[in-house]
Amino acid sequence: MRSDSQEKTEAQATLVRLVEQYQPALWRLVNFYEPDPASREDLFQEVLLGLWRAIPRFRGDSSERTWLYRIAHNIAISQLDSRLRKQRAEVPMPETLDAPAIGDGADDALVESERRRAMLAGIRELGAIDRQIIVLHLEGLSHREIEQVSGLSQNAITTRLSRIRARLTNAIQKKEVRK
Amino acid sequence: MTPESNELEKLWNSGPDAMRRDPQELLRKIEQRTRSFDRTILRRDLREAVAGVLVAGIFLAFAVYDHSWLERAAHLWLAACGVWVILHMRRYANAGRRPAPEESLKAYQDALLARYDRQIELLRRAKYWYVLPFWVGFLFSGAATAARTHNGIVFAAMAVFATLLSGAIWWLNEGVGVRYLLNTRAKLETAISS
Repeated sequence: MRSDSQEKTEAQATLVRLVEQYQPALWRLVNFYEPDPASREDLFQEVLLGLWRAIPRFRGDSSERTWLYRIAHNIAISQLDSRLRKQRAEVPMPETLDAPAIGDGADDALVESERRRAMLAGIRELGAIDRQIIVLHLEGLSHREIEQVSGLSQNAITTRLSRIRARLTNAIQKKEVRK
Repeated sequence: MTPESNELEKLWNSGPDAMRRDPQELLRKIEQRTRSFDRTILRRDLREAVAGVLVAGIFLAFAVYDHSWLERAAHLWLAACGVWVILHMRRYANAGRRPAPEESLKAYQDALLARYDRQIELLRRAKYWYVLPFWVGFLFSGAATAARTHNGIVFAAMAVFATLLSGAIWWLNEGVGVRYLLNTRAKLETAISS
């Protein structure tokens, strides 16, 4: 039987490994969910805290990746709930500004940045489940993995993704037409 | 230009990455946060325990120095009410915790809404588990004192006091509290509905 200190050491090693492996993806997710730049680090740590607490309960029933995304999305929704309970006014989602483009390819970078903004704005207009599905999809999860994270059937996911992708594509095109 | 099939993925991944933090440093922060959270829970538990002991202690002290068995019984009843309310709230707090974040997104969101429903139900029933026992206890205490002193005004004053206090608590729970929770629940439902 393992002692408490052994379990703690193992949990610490697991968390460090998860941070090393998933830090960019988790940060993208936090960046997307948290409207207030000053609170992003706080949400990031909340997500890690959620993982830290859940590590001892992880039994490998699902893949580590789907388990991690479930926790991260659910903690982010919990933060939204906490904000509503504190009656904090919804802060409009600011776009994270990409570094200004300089030199060759500056125009391309600017165009890509604009397209990215249009896509993010389009995602933010979706309902929560749709938002989560598209974010998981964009993070490279398969439909089966999205099913495990979201609890929706693969058929429902396929239908929704098709609709969401068309909508986002449309939003990006509209933005380009207006320019 | 039309986004290609993997264009959305490309755009998604083209965003600025955060500065990569040292995992060991993050681990230290998480452990600090865990300790801070545990201390907060401990303080809350202590606060609740002290409140329960205080209410029960005050009425028990009254019971010790009471002049009649009826008054003693009334104050013992009020002491028991204090303990009962704290225990009931504690049991409810355990049942009303946030769901485990490993749940699927849909199940988790349903559970968050269900948690609001339980809290709303608790406040709606406050008149039974919170207000009524104390109201009865205060009336009982007033009646016991009036019987010993043969002074009906004592009973009338206690009845008015208990009714006004109970009414205020009932209104705070079922009026203000429930309205606030319904409003917040609706906002959450809107925010997470798809």
